[in-house]
Amino acid sequence: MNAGDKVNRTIKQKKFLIGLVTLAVVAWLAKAWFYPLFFEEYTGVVNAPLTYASSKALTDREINNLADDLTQSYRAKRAREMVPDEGNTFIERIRRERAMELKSVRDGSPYPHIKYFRQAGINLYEGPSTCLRCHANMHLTNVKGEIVKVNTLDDVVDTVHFRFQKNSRGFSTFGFDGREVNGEEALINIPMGKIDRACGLPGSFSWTGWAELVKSKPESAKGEVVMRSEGCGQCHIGGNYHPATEKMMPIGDVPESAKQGIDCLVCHADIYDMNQRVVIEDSHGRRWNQDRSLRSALTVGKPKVDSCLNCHQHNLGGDAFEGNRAAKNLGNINERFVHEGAKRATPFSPATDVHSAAGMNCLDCHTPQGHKIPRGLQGVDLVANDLPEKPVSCEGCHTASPHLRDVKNRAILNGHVARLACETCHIKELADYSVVLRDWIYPIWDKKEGIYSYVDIYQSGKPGKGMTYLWFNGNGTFLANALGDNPTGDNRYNPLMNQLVKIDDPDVLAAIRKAAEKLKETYPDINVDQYVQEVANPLSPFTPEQIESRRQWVEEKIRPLMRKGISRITPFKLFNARMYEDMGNQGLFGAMILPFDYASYYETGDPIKSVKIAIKSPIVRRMYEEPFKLYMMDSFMTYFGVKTWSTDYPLTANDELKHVEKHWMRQMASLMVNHGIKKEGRECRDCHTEQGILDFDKLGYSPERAKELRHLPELENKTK
Amino acid sequence: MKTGALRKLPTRPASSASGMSQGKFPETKGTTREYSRFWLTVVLLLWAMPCPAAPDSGQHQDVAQLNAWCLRCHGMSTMQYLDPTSGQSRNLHVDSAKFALSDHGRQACVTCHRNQLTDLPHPPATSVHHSCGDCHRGEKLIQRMRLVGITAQFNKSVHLQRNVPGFDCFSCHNPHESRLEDIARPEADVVQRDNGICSKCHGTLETNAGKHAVIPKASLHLKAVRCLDCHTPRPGSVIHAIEPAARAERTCEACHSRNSILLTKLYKYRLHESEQRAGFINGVVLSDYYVIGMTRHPFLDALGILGMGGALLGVLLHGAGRWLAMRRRTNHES
Repeated sequence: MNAGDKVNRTIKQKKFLIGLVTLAVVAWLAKAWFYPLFFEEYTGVVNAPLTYASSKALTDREINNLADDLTQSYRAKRAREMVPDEGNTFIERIRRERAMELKSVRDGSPYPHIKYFRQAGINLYEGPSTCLRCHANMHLTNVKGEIVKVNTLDDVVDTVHFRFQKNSRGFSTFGFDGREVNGEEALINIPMGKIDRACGLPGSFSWTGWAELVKSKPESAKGEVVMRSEGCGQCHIGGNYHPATEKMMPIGDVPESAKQGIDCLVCHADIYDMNQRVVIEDSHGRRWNQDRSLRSALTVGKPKVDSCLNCHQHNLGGDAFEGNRAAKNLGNINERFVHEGAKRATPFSPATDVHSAAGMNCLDCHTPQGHKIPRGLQGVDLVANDLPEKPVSCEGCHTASPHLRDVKNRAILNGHVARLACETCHIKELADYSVVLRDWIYPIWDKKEGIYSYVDIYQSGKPGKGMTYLWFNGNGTFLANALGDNPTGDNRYNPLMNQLVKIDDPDVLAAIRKAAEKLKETYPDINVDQYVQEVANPLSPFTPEQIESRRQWVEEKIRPLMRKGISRITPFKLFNARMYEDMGNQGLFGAMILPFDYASYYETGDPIKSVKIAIKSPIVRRMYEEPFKLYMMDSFMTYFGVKTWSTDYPLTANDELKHVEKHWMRQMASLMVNHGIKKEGRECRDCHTEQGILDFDKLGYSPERAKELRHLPELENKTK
Repeated sequence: MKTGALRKLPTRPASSASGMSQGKFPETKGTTREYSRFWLTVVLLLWAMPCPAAPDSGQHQDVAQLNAWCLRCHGMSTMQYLDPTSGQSRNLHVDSAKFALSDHGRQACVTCHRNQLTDLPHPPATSVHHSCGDCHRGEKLIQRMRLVGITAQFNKSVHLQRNVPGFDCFSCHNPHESRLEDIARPEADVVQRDNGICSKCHGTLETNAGKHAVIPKASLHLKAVRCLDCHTPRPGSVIHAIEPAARAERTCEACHSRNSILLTKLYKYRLHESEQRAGFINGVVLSDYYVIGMTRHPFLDALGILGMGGALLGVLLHGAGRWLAMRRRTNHES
């Protein structure tokens, strides 16, 4: 009896073991094989091996020529720096030729990789795999100050530059429900970042507008169709057919093929051909091309200012900014568009920024840790931050007593640091082409580019108009509104009910009216008065009861967030856009913005058709289904101040939009401005007079205090 | 000294003190000349008061308004600059809330800071006082004696002996914040505050760990006692006579003994503190001993009573058992 039992038990154990092993194998297979297949099927994204035409093998002779050419062009550049222009081209040429022969210039080895590539016998740049031959691992100093060895590719894949989102803590942003985004009180952490936000500026999600080809009819082509490139992918280092969607899911990783699409050179090459950055189409779909030429690869090194500005001037400084290098190299084929109107027009160039003029590198302030680059402790938006603990601040270099020269006034100037951000005085204004109000609903024909374009009904970088001053404690709301409060005020300061929801400047109103009248020429149905009213008062869709409950909501949920930390008066660029919204998912602070399909929008000028096409995208459909609702959309909506996500898909079976309305965002967004710093700050009288740029009443000072601040006895004595 | 400061001011034209005497803030649109008059009035007014002044409420209001004028700028928490000679930040901030609560909170700023304050921003104003004794001299005999004692100790201190430039009472004691009550704050606060004063010039715990390596668990010591407790001579309360490092206390038993030097230094106010916390019986009479019923904690009391009752019960049961056993044995034998 005992022996039989034993045998039974052994068999049972064996069965259990076999079961366990089978389960493990099935699980592994599911994750490695079935899951990616299922994932691609479910989300409609495509992955395939990525090839690039510029990745060409060169013969030894060609490499030698290339090396000589690069070295000569570097020497010529050095010589140009040494010999200034003096108006006589002949003399300049002679002097520069001599300078190029100088030993110090000849000995300079600007591109050490020429030697390394020769030693390693590399005659072809194939992307990350080529870099990783030598740089498989790298050392970096972590937050604790320890030097650690990391896998280079993993380090890059984990950066925001690649994945555009983080599902960890580290956002300086708070939901309208009062909870920190992915903070301690979050029920589940959801992926947040550029990847899952329709932005009012580009008008699209990164999936629906990743890599688009648009048929344009520019004036210069005389009626011929010219293909153009557009989409979010132009600025991102991934080269795949879609953003790093896999990283949004709780399991799974981007496939190896996508990792091999990472563009190392756009950041690391000294000479990168932005003309290669255009949309290409192959049998799998559309994606962004890269410069993978050996010419570019041989010039690699640490990123320089121009490397960052390849992308970061696109709409930060504005494509239209005359110093924008990338805008001068729009593509050999399928040229990119030059967008008018910049997000915040504070270009980092010697003419516009004192740090640029001093020859500083971006990474001097944004000191990286491996491939992760800090964006500082402060932020109003939901752009994910790789190094949320790492400060990027003026104080880092300038100390807490930054004013040194003016011996008489330095102490009182430093005194202002307690209440004012440095930018308040040292960014006097933004460029004129800063877009403040953008209407996507009434596109008009842009002759130059040959497309129907959204309309910037108001652009300005002037204080009080395109730029405003708000109290800022380093945090923002879910819809990019600066949080902060007047430390001396008693709830008088309330931008979510005042500054950000009202336009009352007569000049701005007049400009809006003029723009509306111009739109009326194309769209006769427009009622100009109503149009101006809708822009100037974005709360107009609400009933008085709703406005009152919004006011209470702000006091109850937002005021405590405003009171956190130390607030300083800080300049912000204002922005609002009118887009289509899904009213099935709306709250007191806004509704779900629907994306546009770039190609149909630009080609037909029919925004409704464009919205329909965009929301038919598989991933938007999935958003309106139960799994996505439970996984992230419910959480997303609670930050929005709405209890749950309604899965009621805004498109009927008859291809009609339902519960979709056109609206301005219920409050203007306030975007941080930190570049374009001027050496000379503002004067006392710029603020402390009746005409001063700071509206002390709106900033929450008591009427008596505001009056005091507008009438400094010191200033009034001096004027006498 | 005071008359010297006075002489620097312009002579006073007749009947110009209207703003002040009515308790109003001076007209802000005044010319420099009017300012001079105003300040002169203020100074004269203050001069008329005993020093330190004990102004009545009306005067107090005037002083508060007067100070508010200074605090417009000096109330800014970052009013500071980098001093070109030392390279250190020089802070000109006066915390208005702390100043109002401080022992000097009823003084006008211009009582101590006097010269050339008329045109704003004004050139560096020198204080006319360099030691507490400059003002505190017409007081009760006992207080005066204490001050004399402190002055004598201070003169012996290493800072004075080595002629540290500009070293005076205010190098350590911030006259804008000091409060007599603060000397009897909880020890942890006192340690933190007093060591904070030393570290302003001498560096923090971390930077001084090496110098204190001779002390076991130096970092713990540096957190739990004041620098002064070892760097002033024993015996007695002589904390103003700070000695050179070479003569610092180095023996463990100086503190770790029944007759610890800390009793006259850091723990000087412990009895007082303990009385405040636990009352006279528990705090002073019983000190730190624990007696059931003189409760501090009902649960502990219950536990104590239970333990005692249990022990008593055990003794009784044991005794009873012994007695029964003995009886049975006796019965059996018989």
